[in-house]
Amino acid sequence: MKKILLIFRKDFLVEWRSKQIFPTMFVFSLLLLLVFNVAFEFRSDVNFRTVSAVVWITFIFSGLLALGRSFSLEKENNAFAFLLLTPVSRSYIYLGKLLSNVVMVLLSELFILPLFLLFFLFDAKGISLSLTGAVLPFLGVVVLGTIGFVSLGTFFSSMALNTKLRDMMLPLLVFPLIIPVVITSVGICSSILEGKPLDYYSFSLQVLVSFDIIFVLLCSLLFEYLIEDSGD
Amino acid sequence: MRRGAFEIETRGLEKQFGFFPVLRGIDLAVGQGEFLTIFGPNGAGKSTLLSILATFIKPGGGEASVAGFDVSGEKEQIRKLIGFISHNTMLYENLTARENLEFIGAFYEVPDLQERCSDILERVGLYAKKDALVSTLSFGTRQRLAIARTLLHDPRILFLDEPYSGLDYGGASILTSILGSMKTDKTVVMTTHNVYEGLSLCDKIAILDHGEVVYSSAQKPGRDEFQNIYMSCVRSGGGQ
Repeated sequence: MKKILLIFRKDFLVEWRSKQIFPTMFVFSLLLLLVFNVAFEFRSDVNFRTVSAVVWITFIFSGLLALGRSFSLEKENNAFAFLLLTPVSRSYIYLGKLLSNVVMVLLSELFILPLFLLFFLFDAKGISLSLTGAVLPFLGVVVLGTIGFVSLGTFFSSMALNTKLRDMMLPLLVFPLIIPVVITSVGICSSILEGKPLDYYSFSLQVLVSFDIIFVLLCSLLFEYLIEDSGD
Repeated sequence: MRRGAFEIETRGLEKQFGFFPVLRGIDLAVGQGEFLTIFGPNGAGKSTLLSILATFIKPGGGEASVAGFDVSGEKEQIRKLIGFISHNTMLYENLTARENLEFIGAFYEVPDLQERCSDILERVGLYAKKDALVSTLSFGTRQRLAIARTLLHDPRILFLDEPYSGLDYGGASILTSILGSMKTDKTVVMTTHNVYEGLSLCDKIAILDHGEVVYSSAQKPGRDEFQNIYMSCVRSGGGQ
């Protein structure tokens, strides 16, 4: 666990000083929400399913920016190669990168969510935003969905590290695989905004948790094989 | 291959990238405490050989062992024992000199890490720059920091891939004095184009050309003699 936290701390220190990822994600998300807001002309009779889809599209597009940069920063100066030379399990390296990426994406989502409320749900009819009935479950789904797509994104961004077309490869590799996570997350968020009880979406919640566990376990086990020969 | 008499041993080591063979049956043996310098023109396969021995990349064929451990199957054991210095510094630019050392040192579980970092920075003449971001350091200074980071966990075996590349006179002197002081207790394999430093430090030499060992000797020749040997062995005839 200490080694995972070391990678997490290092990534945060590097991002704090370089300020490359976070401002870009925030500005990009803001622009996306503005475009969606103008394009869909949201009024008080909002469709909660569409609104949920909009917020998840924003999360994923801006999240991919962070994931793309995450390993690019390691590639600069080939610093990642030296990390691979240390006697640390490749699974720990993956989990450290995953932790820093999840926290980074969640932080940006925390900034996006108030804007989302303002742009799409400010005067929405039939919405209940009680703390326990909507806000906390919604945030819980955001955390679970984020773990799901970031776990795959972290895995594939390391894979795309040594390809010439890495910026183009990442979305092509990640998007098809995160579809189940996105559909499930959008469905649950929509149910929460509509004020449905937990029983209504508990099965979807279990599916989402299962995706997270499978993706994280599988990716951490396969990471060693993925980065084989990447130190060259 | 395991537990041989040699600290580093390769037998028929091969590697190819795509259809292009880079190493064609390399046989080498380096005993404990020996210093082997490998010379050869650009593209001879020197860096690939070191990358395989340092477990960066997999061998394509043949066998290789480091400290008795197989490079294909016992990578983690090898990684604990080796240090690697390359012409590429492999440092994090947005971390300070000390942070770079502490980050890597923690993975090797170096005891008294803070104190050890201060000592090693002092040794390479960088203590005054311990809090400077790597991005603000010159290339030579970065290379000295990379040397410090490699020595942090006191590795038993050192792989040096063109370590003098880009070093100023001061940096080169520090590296030579560090390598000279370690000669008796560490096994070193160095690739270099620097004939003077390469010959002065080594116990034995090898010349690689087109992925093959074209010359090896347990006795180091004089500079003039080496020049003749090199020119007669290397097909491309230049580079050194």
